[in-house]
Order: sequence, then C-alpha cells, then structure tokens
Amino acid sequence: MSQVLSVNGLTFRHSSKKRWLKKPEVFSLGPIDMQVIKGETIAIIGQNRSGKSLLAKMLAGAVEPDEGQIQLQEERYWSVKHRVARKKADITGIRMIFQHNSESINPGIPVGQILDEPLRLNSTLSESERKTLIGDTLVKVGLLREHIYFYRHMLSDGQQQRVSLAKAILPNPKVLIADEPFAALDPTIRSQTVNLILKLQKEMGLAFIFISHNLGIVRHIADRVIVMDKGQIIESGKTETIFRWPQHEMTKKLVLSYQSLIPQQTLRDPE
Amino acid sequence: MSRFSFYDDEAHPSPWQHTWRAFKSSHIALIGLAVLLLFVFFAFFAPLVAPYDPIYQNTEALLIPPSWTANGSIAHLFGTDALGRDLFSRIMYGCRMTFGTSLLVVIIAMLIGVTIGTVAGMLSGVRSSVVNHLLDALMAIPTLLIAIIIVGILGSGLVNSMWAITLALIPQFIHHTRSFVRGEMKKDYIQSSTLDGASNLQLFYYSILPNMFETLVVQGTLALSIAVIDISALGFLNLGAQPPLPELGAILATGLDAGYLAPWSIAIPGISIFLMVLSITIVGDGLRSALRKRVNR
Repeated sequence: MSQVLSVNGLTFRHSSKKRWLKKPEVFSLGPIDMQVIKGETIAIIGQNRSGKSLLAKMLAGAVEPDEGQIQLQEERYWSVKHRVARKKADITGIRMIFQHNSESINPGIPVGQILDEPLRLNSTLSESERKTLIGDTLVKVGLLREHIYFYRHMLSDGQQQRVSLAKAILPNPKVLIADEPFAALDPTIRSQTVNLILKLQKEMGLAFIFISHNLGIVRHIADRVIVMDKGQIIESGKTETIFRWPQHEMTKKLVLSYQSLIPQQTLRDPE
Repeated sequence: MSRFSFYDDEAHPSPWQHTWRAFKSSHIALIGLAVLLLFVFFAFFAPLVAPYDPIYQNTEALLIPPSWTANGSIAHLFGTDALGRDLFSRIMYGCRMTFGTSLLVVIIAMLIGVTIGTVAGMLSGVRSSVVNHLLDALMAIPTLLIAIIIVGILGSGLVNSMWAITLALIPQFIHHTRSFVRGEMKKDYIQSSTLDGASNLQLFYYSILPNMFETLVVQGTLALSIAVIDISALGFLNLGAQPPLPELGAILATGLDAGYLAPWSIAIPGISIFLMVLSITIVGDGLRSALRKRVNR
C-alpha cells in the first residue's frame, strides 16, 4: 500500500463560543478530504486567509480538528492535544517546518541542542549516537558538523531554514509539511533549498506537502496542487492540469496572475 | 562520525564564556564585580580573616578612631565603637549577615516565584489568573509594613524579617515569569517542541529556561538590592536582627548613640551598605547587557 496519509472530513470551526470576551470571529475550514501517496509532492495554494496554514497545522497535529480524522498508514493520527494517545509513530511520522520567521528557532540554545530534542524524546539512541546522527543530518542539509555549537543569531536566514529542515527530517519522517518554506529566502538560496528538498525526498521517500505563493516553484516541483479558498478545497488535481485547464474562477485568477508575470519570449541559443 | 575531524579540536566557547567575554568589555561592570566579590569573600570567610571577635568588648580600647586619622591605630583598621568592639571585624561579619541573608531570601523567593509563575503561564483562562494574582495583595503593602505586621505577630528577629521580605518579593517574580512564559509559549519554536512530544516540564526546562536567564538576572539583582536595603532597614529600626548580632543596619543604629563623638561608626557601615547595593546593581546591569549581547549580536 503506497498511500501514507489519508484525510477524511477534516473540519475546524472557529466559533464565537470558544472565546467569550472577543468579537465572534466566524471561520470554518473543511470538510477536507485528501490522500497522499508515498514520495508525492503536493502544493497547497490559495489567497491569504484561505486556511492553508491552519490546514498544515492540523495535518501536523498542532491544532486539533473539530471533526474528521487523519490516518497515517492505516492508523489514526493523534494531535498534540491527546498526549497519551499520541505515539512515537505519530511524532516521527509527520514533521512540520514552520513559516520562517524570527521565532522559528529557539535563540537561547545552540543548534545541537535544538536538533537533539526530537531524538532525545523519541528514540532510544545513546548520546554519542545522537550526536553522530545530528552531525550526519547537518551535512545532509548542507551545513557543517561544527554548526551544532552555533546559536541562531550566528546563522543566516538560509542556514536557519536548513536547521529547521534538519530538525524536521531527523527522525526519518514519512510526511514532511512546510508552511511557505521558500518565502523568506532570496532566489539563489531558494533554488538551493528547493533542490535540497527534492534530493532528500528522493533519498528518503518522503511525501512533501507545502504551502507556497510562488506558483513558479509549485509548477516546478509539485505533482499535485490543491487550491483553497475560504476554508474549502475548490480544486485539486495534477499540476499541469490545474495550470493548463483551471476550472474554478479563483484558480483561473491565480494562474493568470502567475502567467502574466512570465515574459512571453523564449531564449535562443546563440548560433 | 568521520575518523578525521580536523575541526573538532577547535575550541567552541560555551554560553558562559560568551557571556563572560561580553561582560568583560564593560569596565564599570568589572569594577562592580570586583567590589561585589570582595563582599562575597567577606560573607564566606569572615571568621577566617576577621582580626577580632565581632562581639568581644575590649574595655581598654573604646571609641578608637579609624587608622588613617592621627589618633588611630593600625590594630583597629576602622576604629572601635562605644563598647570597644572592632568595627572592621563587625563590618566583615555584617556583610556575612546582611548579604548572606539577602541572598538566601532572594533565592527562596525566586524559586517559589518562578515555580508559581511558570505554572500560571502554562495554565490558561481563570485558573491562570487565580494563580497569577495569588499573592498580589502583598504587592500593595510596602515590605517594611509587612515586616512590621509579621514582627507584631511573631515578635522581632532576623528570621521573621526574612520571612517578611521573602513574601514581599515573591509576587514580582510571579508576574514577570508568567508574562515571560506566556509570551514564549506562543512562539513557533515552542510549538515545534510540542510537536516533538515535549511535556510541559521538558518545554520549560529545555526551551524556555535558557531564554529566561536575562529576565531572571534582572529581577534577581533588583530583588537582591531591595533585600539588602530592607534587611538593613529592619535591623536599623530594631525590628530585624537584634543589637548584639553584627548586622549592617544594626551596627548603624548602635553607631548612632555615639554619633557625635565617633562619626566613623555611622559612616563606615553606611558606606558599606551603599557600596553593596551599588555593586549588586552594576553587576546585574552588566550581566543583563552581556546576556543580551550573547543572544542578539
């Protein structure tokens, strides 16, 4: 069975009941159904406030859905709210890279300690084995072993992103979820990161789900695209199908706005 | 690990070495540290280095002026008081008493306050609020008044005044810890640790505490200077340490009796209290900026 992740009727309601002193804020997400196959790359696109990040957080288990459930390889996936039921397979099965910002890496502890955490909590490796594995993973994401002694402020944005990636892939996950992993990076670092993730995906057989506003990257690396609007999946399908024959109004707008950015010219080789 | 790791021999400074480097760059902080270390030295080794017993009354040598005046003798560096006790030894023991008890008070208050504050910060809703405002009523009353109330109930004494000051210091620790922990809990790296399966205790110990040192240092030094002033004030008012005990405030108070004849017996304890508070504040400030530099350079 190559299907790693299946989502059935996932629903989240932001009801006014939950917080009684605040203005009622009505936002509901879903119901969402999706299937993810091993090694597949799925892009989630859509406007701001269409529920993409929330969906990613629900998939990663950071937010508890109100209805519906996620199945990771035929078994129920538990969010952090169910501490007792949440198994090691859950923690190491789906890993998430948060949207890159100043708070995505702990400034008070060195990189080595940050990376040690998922292993310390979820594996039986000894300290020296963990250290070796951390060093290897750092090399894998294109950093040096010595970076374990570095603090956040000593690393550039691209390096920080690599650390986040290393932390996510350390326990050998099945599914990697990333919330705008390429947004804060400059074009060269961005393409380096894209290539790095593609390489890792090939090596480790990861399923990769990512949110992006950059339709160029989406078209380049995604196998399938999910388009979201107002908390609903309005369209999903193969990347080329979505880009060539968009059905929904919103998808058409997104795709057109992307295509209008590309100059309609082709580069010719000098004779 | 690879067999040949050329770079592993390179020294990687620990967090404390980073902090020390940043701390060293401020000369004022270094001077403050030297003065503070002197007080700490007195606090620990007073019995070993003090030339006389602090409560031994030498009737042969009453009110001898300090050694730098014409009538002074080198046998009594800071002179003696009206009962013939050597002031230098008394100041040494006084540092031990005042500084030591203040340190003890602050450590106890910090432990309790940080624990309650962390619990409050990790809870949510009404429970958090209740825990947070548990001891708020104490903040409304000045420390000295609480101490007077406690002394009124339990009787005067050093231990009772220590309780009073501990109680008065706890709420501030609770509030600062709680707001810090709350702010921290919202951040992405905490969420990522939660996803790693860290329990609240592990979250606090491994992720939040390393970021909290700065706040703790600021609060701790502030509380320490307050504690020193309060303990000596209570000693001075005769509510805290009782007269034979060499406590800086109490020494000041006894010096007052012969103030016109022997001004040094007021000036010297007063100056040492002043220096103690000043050095604590300077070192705290230096440490804070050093810690900040380490993280945000």
